[in-house]
Amino acid sequence: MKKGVVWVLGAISVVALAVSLYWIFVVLPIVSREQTGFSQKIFYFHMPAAIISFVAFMVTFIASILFLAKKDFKYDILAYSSAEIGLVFGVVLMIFGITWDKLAWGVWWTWDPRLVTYLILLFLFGAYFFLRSMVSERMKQARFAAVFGIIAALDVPVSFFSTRLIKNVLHPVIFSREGFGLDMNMTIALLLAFAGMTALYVLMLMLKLKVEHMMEDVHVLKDMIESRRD
Amino acid sequence: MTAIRQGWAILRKDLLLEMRSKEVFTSQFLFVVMAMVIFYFAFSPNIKNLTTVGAGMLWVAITFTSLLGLNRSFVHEKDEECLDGLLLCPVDRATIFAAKFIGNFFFLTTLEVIAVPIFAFFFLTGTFLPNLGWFLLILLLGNVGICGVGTLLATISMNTRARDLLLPVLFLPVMVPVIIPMVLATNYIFTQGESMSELSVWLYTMAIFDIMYVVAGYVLYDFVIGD
Amino acid sequence: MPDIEMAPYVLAAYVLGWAVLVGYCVYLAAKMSKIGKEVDHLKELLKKE
Repeated sequence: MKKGVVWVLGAISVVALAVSLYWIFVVLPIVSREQTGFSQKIFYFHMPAAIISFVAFMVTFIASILFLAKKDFKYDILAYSSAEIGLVFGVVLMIFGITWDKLAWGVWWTWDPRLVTYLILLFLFGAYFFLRSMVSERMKQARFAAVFGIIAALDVPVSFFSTRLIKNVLHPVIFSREGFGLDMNMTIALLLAFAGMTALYVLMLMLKLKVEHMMEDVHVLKDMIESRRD
Repeated sequence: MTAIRQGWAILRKDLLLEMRSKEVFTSQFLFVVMAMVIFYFAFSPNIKNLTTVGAGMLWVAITFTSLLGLNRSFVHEKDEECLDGLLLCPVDRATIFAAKFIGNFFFLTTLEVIAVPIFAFFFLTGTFLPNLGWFLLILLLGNVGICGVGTLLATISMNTRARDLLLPVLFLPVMVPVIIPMVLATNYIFTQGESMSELSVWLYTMAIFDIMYVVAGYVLYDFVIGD
Repeated sequence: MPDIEMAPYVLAAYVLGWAVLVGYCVYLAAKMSKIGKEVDHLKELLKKE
């Protein structure tokens, strides 16, 4: 891992996120009552977090397929690292989401298709880690996890498209064929937040991968010491 | 051709085993009827017409009952080390999946042939009869989904430390995309919804997931069985 | 709900959300330094033996 890349990514995420916060709370005016007023400011972090978590789970999906095809543990490490970060972003998303529910709809939780499918997605990846913890043999653990990761990720497109496919959905659709529900300044804020979150995701993934590879090193070293002693 | 013969041999073994012991069927049947009795006492004080909650009762009962069967279908393979013997045979892993899947499907369908009429007798007024064909199609699609992904996940959980404890954790969230349309479609049939187009959306959703899960099971089975 | 009443909720969401993200980064960094020390220790042990 290159130290320089980490610092650059860290700098990008800190700067982009700081500027986006400034943009959201200082530059942008508060939208009208009809557009849910002050609570609309949640959106600029809510949506990037959602997209990053979807991307993270898709990375798990692809890495799982690659692992089954090539049987290389580096893909397994990538798969579960990305899934873990996906869950972290998922929790952040849920914090923003339920707060917005409360402010816009008056309740903390509704049984809207988007909310339900996303909640299930979190359960699926929770189960993914439970499954991992229940298998001790390394190869078997990676194989089972890859199979379950592939099946779990089938829910990602369901959740993603649920606001578009099913009628009577409460969750708003921002980007549709009719156009773009945002003006220039809002777009800048959103893109800044999105850039910052993306950099943060890549940064977290690199750190996590580094940690996991170091763990593997520890195992190898321990084995070597063990075998010398015999 | 050999694959079909091999598959039939595995299937026949499971059928014979079950026909002789009847252990799974008995426990599943008891479970499903008990669930109905409990549902009745849970809902009847507040709800006049139980048809309105019938879809939920039916699928909760069936989903949880199916868990019993899915677990059993691999427990005896594991306990008696039949699975190792099976894997030593020159049989394609995908064939084992197909045989197990058809076996589970057959057992679940047999259970439903008896349990669903009892359920209808207890709780339903005749409103579903004009749509009986659709109702049967929903049951069929539901069973394919449950058994397709259930066979795969039961094999995974059986090979872990938690064994049968793990199956509900893996199976239930995976099944949600099938269970929700199943319940909504059944509810539509029981309570006579307004438009047919609504029903077809749910049926398509179920069909798509059934196909995805069965194909995924068939393709991925090689990776979950044996060492 | 008037804007002024919404503000605490929005700010709380931002603070909590950030706390999770930053917390995770800190957790990763802490884990990394801990394992780094372990690797160094093991390498030294290997040299001695």
